[in-house]
Amino acid sequence: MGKLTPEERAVYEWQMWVPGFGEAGQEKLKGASALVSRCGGLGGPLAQSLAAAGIGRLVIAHDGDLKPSDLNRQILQTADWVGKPRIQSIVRRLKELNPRMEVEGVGENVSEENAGRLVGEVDIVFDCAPLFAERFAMNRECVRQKKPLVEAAMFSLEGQVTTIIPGKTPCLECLYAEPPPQWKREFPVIGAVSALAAQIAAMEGIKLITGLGKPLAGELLYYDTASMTFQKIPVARRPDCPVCGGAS
Amino acid sequence: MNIAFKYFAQVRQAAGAESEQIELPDGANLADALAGAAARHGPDFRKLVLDEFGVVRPSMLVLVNGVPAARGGLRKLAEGDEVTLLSAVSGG
Repeated sequence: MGKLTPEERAVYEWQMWVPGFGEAGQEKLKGASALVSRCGGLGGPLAQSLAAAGIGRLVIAHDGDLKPSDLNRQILQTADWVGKPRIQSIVRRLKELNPRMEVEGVGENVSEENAGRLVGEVDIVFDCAPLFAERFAMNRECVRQKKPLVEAAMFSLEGQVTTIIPGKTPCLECLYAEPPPQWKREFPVIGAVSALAAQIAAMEGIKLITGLGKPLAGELLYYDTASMTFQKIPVARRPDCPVCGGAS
Repeated sequence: MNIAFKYFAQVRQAAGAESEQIELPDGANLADALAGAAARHGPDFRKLVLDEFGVVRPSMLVLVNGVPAARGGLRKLAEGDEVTLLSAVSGG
């Protein structure tokens, strides 16, 4: 944990007024590191909120070049960046918002090969990936390394967020052990819907890092913006889970 | 017996409904119940929730009265039970 500078005290003044947060909470954020995978419609606004809140270090994993169809939700991109590597825009925009923060941009997606290294670099992981192979790889590594994992996802007008604390809560494979049979890489979503899941996930991370509030541990928050219905669904560990069944 | 169903995410899209009540024979289990719902909603719904052997897919989170049910769908249901179905979704 690092002591705050006068500049940081000025920047974070309003959030240090939050009861239970204070300068101690800000120092915990400054001393914390997080992996965000990936950094599109979910991970983009999430990383932006973590940066604005003053997290000390972000590792961002995101491959590929910007496409026009990304711009309805990927708010760390800009219209003039189409055709160029997304990760460059992500790092640049985050540094513009918080030049005090350390940002490591990794121009690749999380995979079985790099998950151990990337998860090992940070205190907490945010899963915002579109491919289930990436999500399951991160889940396995977080369980193995006992790192908290905030799971955020969306579809159409709906979103789901839960916080996985290895050994205490169900892991991703306790909830969903395989991708849906008709899953498509590209699916319907409005940017505000993914950004909403992102902000809920960002708060989960801030809470875990600072000790503020009560995380969505053992609960899955589901929302439907069509009806503006929010509900928490209890979720439980599966004793026969191949990933976390024996973990304590 | 009368069973209440609540659908979320892709299941809701496949069912075209957020919730419904379905009458099932006494002694039906979870897989029977989902087969009953599939008979009402067609092949897309069926493919989403059940595999080719009629077993509940591991890509589904299924709760009975708010409690996650064991995989496979062998859990027996009783009059008035509420079955909640969520399908896995992701980011992007």
